[in-house]
Amino acid sequence: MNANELVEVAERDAQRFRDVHQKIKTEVQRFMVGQEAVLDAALTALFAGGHVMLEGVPGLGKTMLVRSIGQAVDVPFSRIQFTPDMMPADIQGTNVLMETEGGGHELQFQEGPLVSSLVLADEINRATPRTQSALLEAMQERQITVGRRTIKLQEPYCVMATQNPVEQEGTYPLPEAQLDRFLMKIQVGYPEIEEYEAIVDRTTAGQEPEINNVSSSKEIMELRKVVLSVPVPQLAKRYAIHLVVGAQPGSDFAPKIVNEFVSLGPSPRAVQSLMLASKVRALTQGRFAVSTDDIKAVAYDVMRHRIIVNFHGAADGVTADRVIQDVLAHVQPPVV
Amino acid sequence: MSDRNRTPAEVRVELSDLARPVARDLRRGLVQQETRRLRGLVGPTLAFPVAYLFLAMLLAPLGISLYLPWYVLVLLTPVFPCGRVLLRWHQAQRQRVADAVALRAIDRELQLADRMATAHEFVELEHPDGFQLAAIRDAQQRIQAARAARPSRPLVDPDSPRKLLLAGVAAGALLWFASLVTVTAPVAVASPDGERQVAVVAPKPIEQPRDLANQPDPQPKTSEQRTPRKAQKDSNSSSASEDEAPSDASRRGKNPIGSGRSAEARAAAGGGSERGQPSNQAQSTKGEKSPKPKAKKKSKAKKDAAEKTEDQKKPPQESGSTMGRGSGKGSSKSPTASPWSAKDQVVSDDEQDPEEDEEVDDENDESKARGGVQPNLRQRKPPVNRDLQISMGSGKPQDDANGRGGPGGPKKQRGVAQLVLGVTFPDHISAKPNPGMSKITQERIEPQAQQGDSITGEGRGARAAPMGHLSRRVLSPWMQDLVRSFYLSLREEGGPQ
Repeated sequence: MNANELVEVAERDAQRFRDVHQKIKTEVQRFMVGQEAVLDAALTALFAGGHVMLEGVPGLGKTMLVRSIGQAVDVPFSRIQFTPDMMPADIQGTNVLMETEGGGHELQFQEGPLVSSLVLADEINRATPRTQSALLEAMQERQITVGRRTIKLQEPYCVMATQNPVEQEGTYPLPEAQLDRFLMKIQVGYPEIEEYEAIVDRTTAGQEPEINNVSSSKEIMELRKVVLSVPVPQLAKRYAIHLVVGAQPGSDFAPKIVNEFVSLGPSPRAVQSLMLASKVRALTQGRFAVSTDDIKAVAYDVMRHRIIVNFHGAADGVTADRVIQDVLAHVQPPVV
Repeated sequence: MSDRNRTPAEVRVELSDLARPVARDLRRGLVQQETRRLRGLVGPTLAFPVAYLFLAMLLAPLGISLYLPWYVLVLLTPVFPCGRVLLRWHQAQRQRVADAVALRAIDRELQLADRMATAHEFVELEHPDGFQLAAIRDAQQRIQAARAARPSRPLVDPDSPRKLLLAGVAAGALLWFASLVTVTAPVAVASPDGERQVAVVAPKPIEQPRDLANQPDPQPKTSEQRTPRKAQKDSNSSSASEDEAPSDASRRGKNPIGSGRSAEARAAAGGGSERGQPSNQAQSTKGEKSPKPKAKKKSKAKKDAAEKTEDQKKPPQESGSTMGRGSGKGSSKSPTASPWSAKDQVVSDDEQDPEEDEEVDDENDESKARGGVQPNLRQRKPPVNRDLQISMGSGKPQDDANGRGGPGGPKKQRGVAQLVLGVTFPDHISAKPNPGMSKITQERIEPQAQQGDSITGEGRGARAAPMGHLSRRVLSPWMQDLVRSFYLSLREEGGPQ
């Protein structure tokens, strides 16, 4: 294949990605009003092969957003409402004693809701750490192990979890190991004033719009390969590394706020996540390579849940977003 | 679409062409930056003449003349800052700005999202893949636009030379003024009859002070000729510094607690130590002026050294070593809390250690506090050694061996005292007590009412941040009263009970 053909294939793949991305987005937006940034981030996680955590107060449409994406993309969808009394077997599945035709009995494995493709983990922080940890293997290894049985999960596999930051009584904050497995953590805010009218019209008029399947799991997997083939120049790579290292206390790139108020910085997994999310953003912006602008744009969503502010920082009202803001201002793109 | 047929090598040449003028601009920018630093050196440039002027004016009444020829001043003032800047300026001119840096600047300026810099990196690859080639072509399509839109900014700051010129003029004026002041500075001349004379010397005899320093001083100015208070102070300090140093250092070494005395107590002690010694006010020599503080510092340093050596000589006391004595650093008697009378500081002839006195006093106090007169713990003899061996391995008989056996080594204490928790059990503190008195002043201030600013309400914007903890709303008292009165009225009307 000569250079021109290579370029044409790349341009065609990139165009196809943009088309599918836009189709899914348009379809979801028929039902979901506003929250475009949240929708973009959720689709970024879907195409990058990661998981996403949506955090926001009740009534902002987090669950509806995930359900809409599940309907727009023709993939198996399941919803788990986490409760404090939920056990790992409730979400992974368990052996159930079944009656056979001959009158005997045998143990049959009944898959839980985790065995799906797009999993909505609603109010994930209401489950006990024991149940939360049952998600770890599924999120990282794309498989679940129950007894001696290991089940490979169907790709594309994506966990979209929601969390309510207000009602913290009776909840179990997610451990760092599990938070790190989420590609992004998205803060869902209130809609804009002008979006309220459309919300009222669409949800109280008695006509609920139907969401059509505009993509498939096969197409999503193909587009994931396209995402992975987006090149990252040295400039962007070093910038991402410097950003992540800059958010680690005691490092050479760390600003003062990190050294003072951060107890745990992002892990190397944050660099991987930055790269993947930036690749998706580069494609949606019509570019063929990652730029430092892409990294800056996704830095908040990717690094927010990987930065643990220490006690002094919490007392002073320092948030992870504030830390990232200072790191972005402090760390400049390197000169290659 | 002739653009699409260009090879990466051709794109590389185009990118280099695009980068070259920008690199030149960037280099100029560096030079300009160094030029700006010249402006920042106005302060350092003026610092030398100002410091010289200040010193000259300060030393002139004392008879010390700073004399440097004007041309030396002029040469010295700008040579270091300007030399440094010129060196950096030269380095900036020789610095080569890489194409990647220039292209990055173009990307940033025209908001091209690193397209040019990325393409510049990809054209260097031997086997670029489809996306890398696509990125190169993407950049290629924007080269012409970038070339056209490259902004040209004024790189020379017009104010820099003017400000530098003004700074130079100011420095010159200051130097001239400094030389004037130095030349006409009054110089103190000592006359043979001992009277101090102040004369304004002409430029020629400026070297006179230097000659004066070499001349033997027949009768230097005495401290009586100055103000009495100053003279007495100087004599005290000089005598204290010269005579007090060894005795005071040794005494303080013995009594480190004395360092916690107040200034008055120290002064009283200092006076006491110098009792009987003739005043050496009239013995001030030519080294009276400048060596005085040095001698004072020296004596202080000696004092510190003596204290240090004493501390080092002292074996570190274990916490139990002073047990039973009821004193030590952990004594309840704080040197800052108790008033130090001058008589406590008088050193007696028998060189008795004042610390021992304090310890005995402490013991007496504590024995009284325990409810009865008890034998002084310090007077107790150590317990006898109950070792059965008459002699040790060396064959020498032990002094206190009586053949009764038992554990070896003297006990630190014995009797009831070791069981009474009231006995002070000081920790080992290898520091000295508080060097001075501390004073706490409390003032009673009446609270004053202040008018607070009114707060205007703000419109509620869209939420973008986490909500945080929301507290449950509580009914205000008037609402509670309202509800209560409502139900009471219902009851009175025979409504639902």
